Amino acid sequence: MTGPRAGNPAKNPDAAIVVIGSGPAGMAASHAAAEYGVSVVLLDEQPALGGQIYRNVEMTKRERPDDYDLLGVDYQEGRHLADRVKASAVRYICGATVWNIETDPLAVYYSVNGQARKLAPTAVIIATGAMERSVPIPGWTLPGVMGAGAAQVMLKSSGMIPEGRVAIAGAGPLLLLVADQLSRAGCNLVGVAETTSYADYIRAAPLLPRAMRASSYLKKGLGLRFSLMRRGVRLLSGAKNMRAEGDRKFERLVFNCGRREVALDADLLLMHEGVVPNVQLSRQMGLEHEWYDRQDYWRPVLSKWGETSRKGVFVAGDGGGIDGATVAAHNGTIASLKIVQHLGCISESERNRRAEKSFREKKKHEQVRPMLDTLFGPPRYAFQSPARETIICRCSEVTAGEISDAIAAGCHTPDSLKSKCRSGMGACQGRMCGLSVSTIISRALEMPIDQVGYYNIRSPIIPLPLCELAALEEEGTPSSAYE
Amino acid sequence: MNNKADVIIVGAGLHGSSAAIHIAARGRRVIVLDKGVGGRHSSASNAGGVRRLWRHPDELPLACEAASMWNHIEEIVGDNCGYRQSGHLKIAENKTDIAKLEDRLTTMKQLGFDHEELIDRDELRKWAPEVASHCAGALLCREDGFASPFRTTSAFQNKAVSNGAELALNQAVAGIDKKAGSWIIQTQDHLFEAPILLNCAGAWGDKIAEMIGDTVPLSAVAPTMMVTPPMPRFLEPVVGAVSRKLSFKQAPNGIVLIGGGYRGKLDRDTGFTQVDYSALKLSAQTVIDLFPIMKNAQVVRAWSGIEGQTPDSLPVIGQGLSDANAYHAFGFSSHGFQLAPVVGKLMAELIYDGASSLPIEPFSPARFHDVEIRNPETAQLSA
Ligand SMILES: Cc1cc2nc3c(=O)[nH]c(=O)nc-3n(C[C@H](O)[C@H](O)[C@H](O)COP(=O)(O)OP(=O)(O)OC[C@H]3O[C@@H](n4cnc5c(N)ncnc54)[C@H](O)[C@@H]3O)c2cc1C
Ligand SMILES: Cc1cc2nc3c(=O)[nH]c(=O)nc-3n(C[C@H](O)[C@H](O)[C@H](O)COP(=O)(O)OP(=O)(O)OC[C@H]3O[C@@H](n4cnc5c(N)ncnc54)[C@H](O)[C@@H]3O)c2cc1C
Repeated sequence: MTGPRAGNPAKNPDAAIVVIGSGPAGMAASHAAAEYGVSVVLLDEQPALGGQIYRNVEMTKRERPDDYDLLGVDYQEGRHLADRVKASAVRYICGATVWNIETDPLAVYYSVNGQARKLAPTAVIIATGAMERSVPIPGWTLPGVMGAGAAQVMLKSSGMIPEGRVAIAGAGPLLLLVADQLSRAGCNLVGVAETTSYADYIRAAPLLPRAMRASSYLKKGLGLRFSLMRRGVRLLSGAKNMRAEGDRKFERLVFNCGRREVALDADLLLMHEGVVPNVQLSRQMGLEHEWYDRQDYWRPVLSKWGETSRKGVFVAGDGGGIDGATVAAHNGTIASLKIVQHLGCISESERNRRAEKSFREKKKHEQVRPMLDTLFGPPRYAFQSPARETIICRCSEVTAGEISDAIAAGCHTPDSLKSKCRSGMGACQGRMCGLSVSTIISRALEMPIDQVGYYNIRSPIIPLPLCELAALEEEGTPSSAYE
Repeated sequence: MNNKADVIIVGAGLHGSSAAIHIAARGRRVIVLDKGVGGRHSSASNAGGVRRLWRHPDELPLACEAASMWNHIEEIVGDNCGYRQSGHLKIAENKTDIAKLEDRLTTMKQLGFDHEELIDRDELRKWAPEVASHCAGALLCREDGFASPFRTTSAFQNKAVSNGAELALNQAVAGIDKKAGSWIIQTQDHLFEAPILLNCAGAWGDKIAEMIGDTVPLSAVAPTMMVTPPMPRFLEPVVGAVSRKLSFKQAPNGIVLIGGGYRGKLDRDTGFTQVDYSALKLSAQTVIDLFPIMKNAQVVRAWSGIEGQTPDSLPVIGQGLSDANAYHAFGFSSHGFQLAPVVGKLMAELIYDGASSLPIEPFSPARFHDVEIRNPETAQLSA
């Protein structure tokens, strides 16, 4: 690699740093770097700043004050961050979807308004956050079944509240939050089926004292529960063997609760089994990943500053492991400080001084995770013995049965399954079935999942029209190496 | 595992597996070593083109034999490999291109090959109704086609195993020694031993050659493919162009595959490749120019493989230069898929009959040096 070319890399006209994702992590990271005069481009595929938690926060405040109040203080928090980014020198490009990142030299490819472009920064911060875990129960692909987070996104971005009777099922902090937000918005909730059982509470109990150090999370959780109960929403815990039934569209959720079989008739089922890091970009780049057993997900291997296995490439926020919005923002700041120091804009001691508060705060907030992660353990029920007809890969409509047969026929890696039955080959590029497929192989062969591995994720991570590629615009000069 | 064999083959891609099929069929004990699962970067992930059209004349005797083997591929490897005789076209966009096609046809006639024919504008439209209006004609090979690379590679490997060959996967060859007339081949966890060594290491073939003392110039390149989601069927044959880099086909399930030799970036030591979109820009434009129907098609996936490229784009096939009990078959320079059935057969002949039934002199590793080609008959066979 060559040394930095002529000029100050911090002032790279393309961008010294490209930040991808404008959630808490991306906003905090961009702002922190811009404060030191480093040129930053912030890209997000959404039309406005905010990420998942603060989705559309500025507009909601301005145009839908009722929704803004309803979404609560945690949501409103995001406005301050957004204001600071807006007031800074950060070049924020909305509606910009990143579909490929190249290394040696670094290049970020994205599309905005039908135009494909290339940027050549010195460092990249991937802050693409989390996505809802797919839960392949029988019937999950019926029209009328969707993610609870996705329903919340609709509420945030356009104030849309689902019509008709709504059933909610799954586990995790977000489940109750969405249930509460929807019920307060006047939605007709017929029941919340929680897959969390008493056994989970007992397993999580020993971790409670540690979690008390970040007790605000626990208070919030209890608060949501009481709020739902006060409003008379039916809460059923310990739900097992869930299936969505219906003739061409969802009609009812059926599950076991203790020895009873319960059926909830509804028009819409919102499923949620927690969120997992969105690793599409970090996988596409071929970065190193590790398996996080407590929550059954992959996360990129990161240094304490958030640097990945490739120099100059950082991951901040839930994309590096689920820790929530506050920790995400601190991680964004920490990654930026490291880069800013690396570019020579601040000394190491200044960096350490500035980062200290973030490290301290972050540590406090992380205390609650072991308990939450244990209490809301991953939905192993969906993978233990998926019914043969359950669809695993939605894009190519590949069933659990077809996958089991291919494994039995010798496909022992996710990639060979791709070739054999085309799972993970559709437009979502394996985003939705990747975790399920690795898990199913691992169970079938009784092989540790980190030996099974994951799909090789190919770019473009979102479909790219050929005419857009033909008109690819290449900005500026090649980047200075980060070394 | 018994680590001794009559022949050890390095590389379980198509060429290593094909040789294993034929050597094992002769009752010899074969072990095939591969640092991975075999052919991941090339044999199992290429464009699957089974093409004689526009091939180098030196390769045609082999390619013609291969073509008839592809017609019976199920009898040879126990699976039809998704093979489909779709025809291949080489499109001319103007008069200069047409002149080049005519020259080619003349050469083919002189050499006695009749697999290629020239078709005019109207005939071209019958073969490819969506082709752009400026296209003036094409060279056609009716008996060319394509197969599924993954299925083909699995079928070749399975057939080798059912013939009795042993596949030792995840065994990276790190060193090769010769002791008492035997090759001692060292991988990260085992030693393997055999009197005869066959180098089918693809893009890494020069490294294995070096371990036995042969210097062969080879570079590793990363040809790139793009794929669309299934589209309504509009094209049967595989299409190339005279003056532009293109390889274009629609699979039976409607997916369109775009190749053409645009290269990505690679790190041969780690096997890491990256697609170079700046290069693919041109590829996208070419496709749109020749098939306007593709303008709004979407690319859902692109990847770069790893293939061995020789200075003259011909493969390295033949006996070793510094040791008569070493053989090479690698460096297929982005068109070795079609040749796989036949080259394995020739290697078995070369090793055990002392000569191959088809001319392979043009592919000798000696062509890069001022070295005389060793007479295969003088090879000492200790097996
Ligand atoms: C649907 C959903 C709803 C959630 N709601 C809440 C909530 O209400 N409260 C709560 O505490 N937590 C919520 N979470 C959890 C949430 O992940 C974290 O609390 C927090 O938002 C994480 O912040 P982040 O900055 O890491 O990422 P995010 O806030 O997730 O931001 C990531 C951003 O990256 C963008 N992005 C992703 N890929 C690309 C790409 N290829 N190109 C360009 N941009 C891209 C996305 O558009 C997004 O804006 C939710 C998660 C999900 C998945
Ligand atoms: C994108 C792409 C498109 C192509 N399209 C076509 C086409 O349409 N038509 C056509 O005819 N050809 C095509 N080709 C070329 C064709 O794929 C190759 O020529 C052919 O597959 C080569 O087979 P091989 O067995 O020589 O090599 P490979 O399949 O690469 O196998 C070599 C094996 O050797 C192993 N190996 C290497 N070093 C070691 C070591 N030290 N120890 C152990 N094992 C080792 C490797 O792991 C590998 O598995 C294409 C190639 C690519 C990449």
